[in-house]
Amino acid sequence: VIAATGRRQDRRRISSRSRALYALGAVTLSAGALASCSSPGGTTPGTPVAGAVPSIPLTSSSARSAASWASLAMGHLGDPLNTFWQLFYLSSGTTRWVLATPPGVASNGGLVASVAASGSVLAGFEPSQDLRFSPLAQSTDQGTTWAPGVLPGGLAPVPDSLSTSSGGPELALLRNGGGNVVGSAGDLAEWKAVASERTLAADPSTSVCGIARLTAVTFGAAGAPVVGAACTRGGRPGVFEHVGADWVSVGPSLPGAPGGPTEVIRLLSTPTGAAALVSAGTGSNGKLFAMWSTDSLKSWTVSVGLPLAGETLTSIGATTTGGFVIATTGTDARRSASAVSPSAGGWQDLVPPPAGTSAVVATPDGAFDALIANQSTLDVYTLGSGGWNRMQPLSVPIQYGSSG
Amino acid sequence: MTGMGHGLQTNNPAIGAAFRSALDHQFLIILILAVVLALAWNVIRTIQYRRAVAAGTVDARVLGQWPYPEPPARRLLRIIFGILWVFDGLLQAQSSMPVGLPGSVITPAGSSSPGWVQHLVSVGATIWSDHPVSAAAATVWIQVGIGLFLLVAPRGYWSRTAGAVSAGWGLVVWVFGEAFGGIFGHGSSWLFGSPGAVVLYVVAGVLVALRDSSWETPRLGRGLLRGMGVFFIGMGILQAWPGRGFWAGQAHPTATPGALTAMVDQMAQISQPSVFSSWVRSFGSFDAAHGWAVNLVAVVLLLGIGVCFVSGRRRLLWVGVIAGVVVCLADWVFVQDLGFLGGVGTDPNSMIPMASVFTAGYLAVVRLPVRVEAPAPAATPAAAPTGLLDRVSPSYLVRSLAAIGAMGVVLVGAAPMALASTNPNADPIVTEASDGTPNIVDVPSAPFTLTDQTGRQVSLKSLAGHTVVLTFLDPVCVSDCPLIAQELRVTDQMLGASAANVDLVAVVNNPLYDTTALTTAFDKQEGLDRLPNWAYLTGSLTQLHQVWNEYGVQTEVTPAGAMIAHSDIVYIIDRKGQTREILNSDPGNGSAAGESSFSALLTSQVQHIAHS
Repeated sequence: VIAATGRRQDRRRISSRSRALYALGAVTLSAGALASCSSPGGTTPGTPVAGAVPSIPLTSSSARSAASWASLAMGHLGDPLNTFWQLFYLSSGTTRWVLATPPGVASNGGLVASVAASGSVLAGFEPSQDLRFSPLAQSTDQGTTWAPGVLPGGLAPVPDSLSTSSGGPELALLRNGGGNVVGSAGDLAEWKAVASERTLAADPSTSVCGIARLTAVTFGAAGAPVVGAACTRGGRPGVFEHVGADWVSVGPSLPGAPGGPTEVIRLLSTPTGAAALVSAGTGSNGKLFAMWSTDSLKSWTVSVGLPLAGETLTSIGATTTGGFVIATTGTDARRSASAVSPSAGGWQDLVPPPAGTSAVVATPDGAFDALIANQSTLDVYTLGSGGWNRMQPLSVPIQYGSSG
Repeated sequence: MTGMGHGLQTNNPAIGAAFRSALDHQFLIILILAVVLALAWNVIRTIQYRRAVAAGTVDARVLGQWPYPEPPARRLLRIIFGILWVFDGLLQAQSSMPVGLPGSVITPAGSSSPGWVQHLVSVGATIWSDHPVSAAAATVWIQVGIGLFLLVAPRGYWSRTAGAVSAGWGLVVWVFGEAFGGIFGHGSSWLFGSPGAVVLYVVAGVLVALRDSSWETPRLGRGLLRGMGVFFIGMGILQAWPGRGFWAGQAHPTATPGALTAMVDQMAQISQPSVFSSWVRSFGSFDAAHGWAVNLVAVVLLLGIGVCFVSGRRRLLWVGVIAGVVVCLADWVFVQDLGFLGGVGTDPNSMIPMASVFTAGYLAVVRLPVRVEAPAPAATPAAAPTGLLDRVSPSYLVRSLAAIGAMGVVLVGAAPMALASTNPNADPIVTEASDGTPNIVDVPSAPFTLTDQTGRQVSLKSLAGHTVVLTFLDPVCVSDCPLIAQELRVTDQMLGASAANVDLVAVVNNPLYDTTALTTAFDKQEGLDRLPNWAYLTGSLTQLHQVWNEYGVQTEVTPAGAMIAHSDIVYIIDRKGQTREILNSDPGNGSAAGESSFSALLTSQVQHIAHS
């Protein structure tokens, strides 16, 4: 019986209490009729991690001397079930990007990749739908073949939630709580707890930070785990190294940093130490700092701050020299790009990338490419002396509807 | 294949056949009841006659006689709403009701309402989706029964009970089926049926359930009309409220239509005879061109009718009733499009009930019952009747038995619905409707030896003596496999103690992610690691391919971030290693009803095979 206005199914079960109430109503009605005989009466794919200031985009890339790797979302980005994250690589000496997404797992939730100095890559799938742990895939032949692995939980949706060294060991940052760090000896199956947001926050050496959550993992030069964090207290970014049985705060002070929280956005190991990208401050006062250590995290060189002026980060890439390249989106949806290298120390504004750019990526040969995902097509633009030139359209055989 | 599932269509043949079968069986029960009651009537009349002849008191029966005939207002309500309930019950017998009602009627009715209303509505929709056949058949008989109950019992306790049952069922439908008639949602309007047709059934049921003495003075009628008057004035103000879209028509064909034009257009698109849709379209065109004027007329009429009813003056009441009936009929035809067309219409909407209620109110004011003195008995019989049977008049006896019969019809529907409501698992028919009935076979099962999640070797031979439920799951699948795993877990619960003699076995169905670390992670994720009779098997790629081939399982690696495409299939293997049934286990759209239904079906099939 309906009103004239009347004309899909919730997968959640109704509570047993509600069902019991309804059943009671139906039984009462039946009983009443009898009695009356005698008397009347997931993280959305592509969505940056929530709460970070500024938000950390999952769209990211890493450049090594042998190849560059980039991870970004494609498909119908407004529909989580038809958004598929893809992994691409570009070999040194070539100009054509190749699809290298590990097969066998739905990538709707997101894809994270860590590239070892040797060129081996470890990819992790973010959980999606009813899959609540993260499958892993490792390749030593530039994505031609992959070996499977598995994490005991879901990967944190940040670009550096995985870290691999050649042949192991590996570190992974899981999303439960404020982040849990686990380590594997190299088999990608057995994982042991290394640290958690709770244990780190309880350590006196981290009190200067006021840890809000863990945001990145990597290895120090000596192979010790290094963890990046978001800090509620300003001044020094939250970078902590596991030394013996203790965690030591190794983040430097940031000259010229605005007050307010800091957040480690990227944290990567280098042959002599580490490189990190850090945000400081909030909103229009926010700035990005790049910093490098070449003496086993004893001291850091810090870049000048790049004012974000309220723009949001779209992609973050690492360069072969340990520098970073970022793409940002303004309130008018226009893209900007900047790069910083340890040798220059300051930020260099790049020619604004084309509209709709998904990621600006450093190539193994020191150039920059802009990747634009348009449903099943990836358009590649290369930055030349005259600006961005369209170099390659790449068709990606996305299987729409395959995830339910 | 995974990802290729779909929800049930409203004209699903399996559901349709089961619905017709249920109605046929229940109709047979009702026929038997009718025969029993006819026999009872015959026996009682025979006994009455013999006792009356023996006592010489043939004309002395008094039970079933009242001092005045049934008040006209009450009779109008009883007959109109009796007919409406019977009509609504017959509409519920439409073949699209079992599948179509939750998605096409119940859920949309609450879609613009607050969360708590949607929760209540989802309770009703879930129970209906879990038990589509029994719920739809039950509703047919409950409503037909209530209608007959109202029609056959004109006076006394039977009649008042019919009114109470009508009000009670109406309340259930108004809350769970109509989302309170949309009164908590956006865009409600008297023109569209607010506050819901069934709330008027409730009002009428309450009025019929009142004592006879309530109808002896005009107080009841005046009170009813004043209430209706206040309601009409409120609806008039709501209709006039700016910003709700009722003052707009449609400036040009591509412009956003006003609320009334949009509704009329929507109603005109419902499947119906062209003559009706042409009327509605014509009115829609008129409203599109003159939206402001149409709404002005509606507001003035609603306010005017309301004022007439509130005034309590007989002449104004008469004017109000005439105007009200005309407006109700016009709205019923041109806006509500008769309400019951399109295959999932459940009633003629609100206008006929509303006109009936205020007309009854008017009759209760102007046509009071006249008390009739009973004639004195011609002669005192030699022996006065003393037993209950001796005092029952033949007509009262017929009506009483008819009322019992009508209540029986209600119970033929209410009993299975109450049982269905208490069953937390959906009926197997839901799965059979989407995946087909199990394929019954009796062939030797292909042997295999694989490794379980603990590293132990498991062969089909090692499982001899147990019934085996064998399926194929991808440990990193994001949709179907976790659902199938939950269905197996629930099946294990439903099997109870007999689960000790049943092994639930899955074989990895992903050629790339096939390690025991992955099967262990999947087991933990799905809570299967706590089941002692669960085994998730894997092996070398050669071994897996051999098992997939022998069991007809398709597996395809697809590129670009898609999961493995694979078959969703379950084998039931008996204690001797014979495959006895093959079930399609595609969870389709993953509805809770589908999951629960599959578990219920699997449980019953396993129990059947275990005991055969």
